[in-house]
Amino acid sequence: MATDRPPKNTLTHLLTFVGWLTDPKSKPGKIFNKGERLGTALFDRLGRNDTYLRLAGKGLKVGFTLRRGLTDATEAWLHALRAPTLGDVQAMRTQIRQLGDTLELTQTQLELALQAIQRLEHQLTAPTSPKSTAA
Amino acid sequence: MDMPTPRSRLRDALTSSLEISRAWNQALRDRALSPYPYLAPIVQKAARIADPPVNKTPHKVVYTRGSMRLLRFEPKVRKYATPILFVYSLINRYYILDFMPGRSLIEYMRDQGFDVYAIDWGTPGALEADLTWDDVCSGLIRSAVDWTLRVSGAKDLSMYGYCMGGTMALAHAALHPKPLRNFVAQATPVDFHHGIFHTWTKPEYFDVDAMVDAYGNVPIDLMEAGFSMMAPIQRITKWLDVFRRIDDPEFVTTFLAMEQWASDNVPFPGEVYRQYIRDCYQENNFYEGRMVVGGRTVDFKNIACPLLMVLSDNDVIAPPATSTALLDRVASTDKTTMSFPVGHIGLSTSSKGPRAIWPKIAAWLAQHSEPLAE
Repeated sequence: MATDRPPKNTLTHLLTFVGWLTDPKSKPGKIFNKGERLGTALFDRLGRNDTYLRLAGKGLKVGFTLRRGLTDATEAWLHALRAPTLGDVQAMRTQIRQLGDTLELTQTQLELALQAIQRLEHQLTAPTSPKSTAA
Repeated sequence: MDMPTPRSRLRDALTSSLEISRAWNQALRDRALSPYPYLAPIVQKAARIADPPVNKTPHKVVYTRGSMRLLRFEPKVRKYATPILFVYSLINRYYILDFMPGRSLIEYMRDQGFDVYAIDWGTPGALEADLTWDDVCSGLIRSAVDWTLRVSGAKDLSMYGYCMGGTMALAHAALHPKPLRNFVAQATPVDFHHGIFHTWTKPEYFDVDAMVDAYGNVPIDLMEAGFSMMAPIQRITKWLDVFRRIDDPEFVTTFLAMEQWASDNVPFPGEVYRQYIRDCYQENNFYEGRMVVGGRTVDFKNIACPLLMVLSDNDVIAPPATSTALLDRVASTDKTTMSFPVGHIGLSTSSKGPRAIWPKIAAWLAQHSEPLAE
């Protein structure tokens, strides 16, 4: 497999070097790994810290609320211009989807009816075949 | 192979840098947060390998509804009348179950003679934002069950839920237990008051209503940011391990395949997410038997079919304790638990899969399936 591969290129050497720099067995890698462990422990503590989680949650909520406010304001402005808004398009999408679902249901019911007819047809023809063979 | 000339080296270097800059340009335009679209082209060039062969098991689409597709993986020689229906999570894509040739759970089950089906939820769009748990459990999964039975000509099936897909499949099974012959729950969270996600989603920290009201579907960026917070440093430093093993094409290919799947996030349907966070992570109603879906309570006592629980010892996404809680809640008398020394995703992608994990699951399924009359 290795013989079919193109020869090593500059990128291969570069990445191998970066790999060596961060290898736990190499001298610089030992320092890097110490930093990595420290960073991991820090993030782990942060992820469980009540104050941080409360602050992050509040920040997210403010962002979400602002986004919603912006969307509502844009919709109101577009309505004033009598232009279709995203909300209008979504309402239309819902209607189309409901139509699609109804169509699909009808299709499924038709298929089921067809299957029932086929089963009935099979039952009706099955007992008559031995007679016709005998005749 | 011919020795490279300075001219061919220069040409290769120029082509490589052009391809990498094109890939980066695209990643920046997509505002990708995952390191995959930035680092994968570099690693691929440095390792001199082709694209990883992901999701290669041949299949047919047998049913579609909205963005959902039902896929059939037909065996060459079918040995069992009972088909298997895989239900995967709404987070990420289903094809982790069909990872790579020789390391695909779906391919393995198909080769054992099972008629295999899998739900691909696709990429939810604006139409899916209003989907509810009722639409998913009593609509989409139920349709998938009906079509699986119809296409395979079977009277019952084995439902195989994985991760959050297992949670949804369990809700479906509790609401519509009839055509289920067996249930396999692989790394399926049931008692959500364990693990870091429970902490992060507590109502005092996380306002799910504000998020869903602002976005509709939960966007990819926010989903990715949440998962990144689980191990933000390792998210980058794991690539350094690949740099060290750049001359091991098999390792690099598997790593890139895994990262490709992990970065292939999809938006999470908004209303499903709202109820998922509230009823599962915040109030644990799913486990406590208080979750209401389509006006009916999800009661595990309705599940009486044989149950196989597949656990991963090193699971940080669905720790074993979140899954084993189910055992005392179902009415099934035939209950088996299998535990393997891998991680959450390793159950479906580890090299131990085809050697040590899947043969045991397949044997259990074979024992509990109806053999096909010859």
